[in-house]
Amino acid sequence: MSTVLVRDLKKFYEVREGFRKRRVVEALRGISFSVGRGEIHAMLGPNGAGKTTTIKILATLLLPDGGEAYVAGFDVVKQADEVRRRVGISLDVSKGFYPSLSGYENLVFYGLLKGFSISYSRRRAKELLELVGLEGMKASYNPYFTYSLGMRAKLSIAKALFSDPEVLLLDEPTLGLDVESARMIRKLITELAKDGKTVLITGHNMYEIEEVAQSVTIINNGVVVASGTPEQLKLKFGLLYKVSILLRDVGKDFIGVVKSSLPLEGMSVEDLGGSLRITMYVRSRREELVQTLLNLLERSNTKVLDISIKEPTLEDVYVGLVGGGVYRVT
Amino acid sequence: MFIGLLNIVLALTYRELVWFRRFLADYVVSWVFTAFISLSIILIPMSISDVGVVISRFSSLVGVELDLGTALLVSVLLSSIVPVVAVCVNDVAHTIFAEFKFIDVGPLILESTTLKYYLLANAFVRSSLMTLGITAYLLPVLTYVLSSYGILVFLIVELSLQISAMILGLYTTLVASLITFYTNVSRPWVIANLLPPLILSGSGIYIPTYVVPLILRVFAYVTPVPYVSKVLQVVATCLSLPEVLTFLTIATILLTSYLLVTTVFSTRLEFRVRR
Repeated sequence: MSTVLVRDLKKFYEVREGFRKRRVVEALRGISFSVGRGEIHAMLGPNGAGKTTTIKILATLLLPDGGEAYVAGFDVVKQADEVRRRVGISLDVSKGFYPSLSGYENLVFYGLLKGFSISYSRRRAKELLELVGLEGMKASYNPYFTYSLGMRAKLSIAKALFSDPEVLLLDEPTLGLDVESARMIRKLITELAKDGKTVLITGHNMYEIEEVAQSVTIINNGVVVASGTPEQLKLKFGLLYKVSILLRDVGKDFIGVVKSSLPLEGMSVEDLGGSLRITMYVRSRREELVQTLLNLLERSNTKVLDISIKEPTLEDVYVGLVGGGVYRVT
Repeated sequence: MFIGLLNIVLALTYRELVWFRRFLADYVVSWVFTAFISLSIILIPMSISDVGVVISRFSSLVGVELDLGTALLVSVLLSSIVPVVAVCVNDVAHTIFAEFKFIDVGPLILESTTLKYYLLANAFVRSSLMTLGITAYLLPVLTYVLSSYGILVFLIVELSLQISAMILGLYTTLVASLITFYTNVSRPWVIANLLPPLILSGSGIYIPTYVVPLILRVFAYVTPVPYVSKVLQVVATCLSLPEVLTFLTIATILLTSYLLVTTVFSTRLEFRVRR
């Protein structure tokens, strides 16, 4: 059963242009996707694609104009209170707290507002500040306005985790974080998913998304343009592996055997004087490609000096879909 | 509903106490400033004019013959309304502006609770606690001047100011919410800053109401300020029960009206904001 279920979700905004004129902006034009329990699902798309709007609807901050959305089996419109008890949300990490309160005080205030007791809120705030690595930075005392962007992002994550929610909705959670902190947050997200929490994450860092996400939905102009696991997306959009092999003592028929054994899209052979560099573009699953290649090399008795397989990235898929036309590894 | 409201009240009380601790110096400055103004109103004219004339003019404002001590007491009590109006209007309004327009704490509130309850609780808690903080100097002053009777006077004054503060909190919540959620005003505090002088000028605190233009009086009379001003004058001169009861009756009508309007308005607002 899906923990997050979105069906034909629609959202329109009315934007005022001048004094009387109004323009309707279609932020979401019927998007659908689902996320299973313990899964990390990434939503990708350019700025204004509708990612944050979707997160806000799932967090009950916004009401949709059409379609349905369920979190942990509860309708985000009709059972908003139930949904609020089950989600933790981190929106724009650069703001969202009282500047004159410290991180600790902001978290205690949030806990009380959520209905927790003062003693629990204090204890939980301390635990979370420690968890995200803010305790050592005197976050208990310094007001929020003195925080760096990285500290603000960590506090935002701490807030999202406050009620130990079933579902985490994280909008660009590592924005502005240094390398070490971003890695720490990624590790934390992965561990939370292993504990059974469902994570819906957005971002522009493709490396990060590819590292943590088990499934991806790509949105553009308010519609879903692709969804699936990163591996499925790469295959679905026909991206090619670039294989480069440096060989010595190559047999006469080796090139012919390679051509007949692999689904090649292109091939070039370069004589380097004593050694041969073969560059191939192969449309295949990585495991099958590696296995076939090893078998061929083993049978041919050639000496392998170097081998590299450059695989397509999620970024290639993203650029291909959002940038128009499928991008190929060359 | 009650539990939800109680949670918000607890959270807001915690926030106010933290802010009070953090901004204690601001409160001390306002205590000193208000005390200085209230004494200056009598003492500065006395130093450049005849004492009898000053006391006589001040007595005509209150409508009762005063001696110097009572005149000073009236001045101290009347002056306490000024910071109460200032904090109830400005701080409640600015909190709403900041939360939903500038520092973007709105999502934190909307994801935790309902906007309707939050706005209602904020109107009561923020105005009530800030009033308590801003008028805390009255307790030692009144106890010093009136000894143990001063404590009773303080309690009556504080109760009157608290009721007024809650009504002003609701009034400001309505105005601030209208500005925040129904307009594209970039500097909403400009509008909010106009309210205290408009309310105070028509309230008869230092200026007799008959010399104030009608429109200003109308502005003031939809708030509890003119009525509480009358009560404080009565408390300082002679503790008259009918005057206090009149104030309580008017305050109850105002409180009920504003509470009803704010509840209906904030229910609609909740839908609009989440839209």
